[in-house]
Amino acid sequence: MTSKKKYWKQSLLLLIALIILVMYDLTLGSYAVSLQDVFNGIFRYNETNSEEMTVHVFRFPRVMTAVFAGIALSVSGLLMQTLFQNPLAGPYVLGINSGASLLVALSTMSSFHILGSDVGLVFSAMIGAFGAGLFILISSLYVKNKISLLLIGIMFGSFAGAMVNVIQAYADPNNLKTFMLWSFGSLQGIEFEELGLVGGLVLIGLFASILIIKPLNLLLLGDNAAHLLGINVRLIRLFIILITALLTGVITAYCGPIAFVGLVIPNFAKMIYKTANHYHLLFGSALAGAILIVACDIAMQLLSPYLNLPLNALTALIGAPVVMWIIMRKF
Amino acid sequence: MLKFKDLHIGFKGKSKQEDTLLFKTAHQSFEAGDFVALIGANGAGKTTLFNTVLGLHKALKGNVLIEGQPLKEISREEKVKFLSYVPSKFSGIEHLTTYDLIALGRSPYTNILNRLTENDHQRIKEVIQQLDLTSLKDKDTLSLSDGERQIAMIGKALAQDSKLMVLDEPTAFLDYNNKRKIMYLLHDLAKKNKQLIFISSHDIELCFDYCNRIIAIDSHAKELIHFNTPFDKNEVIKSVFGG
Repeated sequence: MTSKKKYWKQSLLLLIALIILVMYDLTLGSYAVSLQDVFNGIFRYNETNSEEMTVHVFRFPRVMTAVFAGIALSVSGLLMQTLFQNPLAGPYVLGINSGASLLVALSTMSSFHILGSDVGLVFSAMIGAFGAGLFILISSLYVKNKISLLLIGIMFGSFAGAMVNVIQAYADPNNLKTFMLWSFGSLQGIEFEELGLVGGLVLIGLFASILIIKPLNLLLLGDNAAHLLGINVRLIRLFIILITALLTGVITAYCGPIAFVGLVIPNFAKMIYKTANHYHLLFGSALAGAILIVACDIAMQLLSPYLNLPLNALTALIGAPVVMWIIMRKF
Repeated sequence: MLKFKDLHIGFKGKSKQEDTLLFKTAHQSFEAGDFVALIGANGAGKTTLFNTVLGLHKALKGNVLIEGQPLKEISREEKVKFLSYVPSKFSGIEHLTTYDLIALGRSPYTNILNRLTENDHQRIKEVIQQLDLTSLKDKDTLSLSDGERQIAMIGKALAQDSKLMVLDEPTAFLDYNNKRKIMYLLHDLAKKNKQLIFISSHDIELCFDYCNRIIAIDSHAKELIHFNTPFDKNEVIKSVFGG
């Protein structure tokens, strides 16, 4: 009984930390803005006030994007790690991001413009993510070894990367620039009006994950044991891949392929919560993921006068050493 | 309670002629309270029979009946009340305590969020008491010894409140002391809980001591042979391993 309260207390602390960081982040940018203007910019927007406009047009969307991206990528990572029973799984390592990148490259740079619009871009990123997820899922039926599966994911990632290179070689310079900027990873890609759509999709993914908490918990025991405890394992696997494709796809479409968050955060959540119950791990991962990306954004804003750090470089700078540490500890 | 009705165990080939038959069973039935050991040489088909009983593998012919119902007609959700399963090796899961592991056995009865009711907690506590796991209940399953982990997995199966418990070589990875402990425990559970307990084993001597029924796979005659207590050890061994 008491242990349950402990988990809620940890989640509450993370939530408070997130809110403080979000408030702080909203005041940051090319010039500082007071919290009063932040409040007005969000709730009582007046176009003539330039501070309020900055908050409304640039900062609020940027910070909310950070929150959504953190939630989406961490939850996908947790789902992948449970599905493949592997602490090193994540949307980036398994090539799910690369699948999304490939289709985004196709739709931005090739003459293949069917999916040219913004909604088309999101949709094609999701299809790419789903395709990559399905590929890894099918491979996992043949490859039982955990490291081999990661290698297949990495190979798939390089393969998709090479395809992107080929597309780049033939691309129009303007399109190429758009794509390159996208691939650096950015939180500026979502406008105020689009926040509802992105937030809605991320919340749908989060809600869908909450609905499969029980199967997730039972999958830890292995596929057969889960089946014998009444779980339709095949259906759940497909459902997990769909949720991951939705979450990773929408974020990748707008923010670019953000590395490592999905791998690092679930491990971090397991470490602080010390539980195998996905009920708490889901909330913990979502909150911690949001905190990490908001913190990355704060770092980028504070460093921006001296150094322009792309988001993807920053997450990799943090993520890669953590992954090495996990490998040394667990394998 | 559990019946084999003219069951042919084996693997399906591309056509009927290519089917590989491992063995046949005549009509056999097992009752609640029985502690049954399945013995046979390596490769004789112990695991295949188990998988057939668990519904993970299709029999070539015939039926497995549970309380008169053919197994294949029982839905996945209903099967939970009839069957629980303990694999031969469970290596533990980080941050999953013994208590949480046993609680997973209650999950078929919980709501969509896997929330345990007072009733579930009560049942888990009973299981912990019966298996004498009180001192280990908050320990990480990763840090338990092999024997303790096996008992915790039996606890998970017990919490499921199924009529039949299937254990695949429950003593395979244990030292002698733990082997005896597990066998004694299962013997006790079958009697007290009126459950049918079904194990496969290579520890034939222990099966003689603790089980009340033994079924043996005779790979030459391709048949499943049935023995009751008191066992004629020579006859059992001869039927499985030949002359």
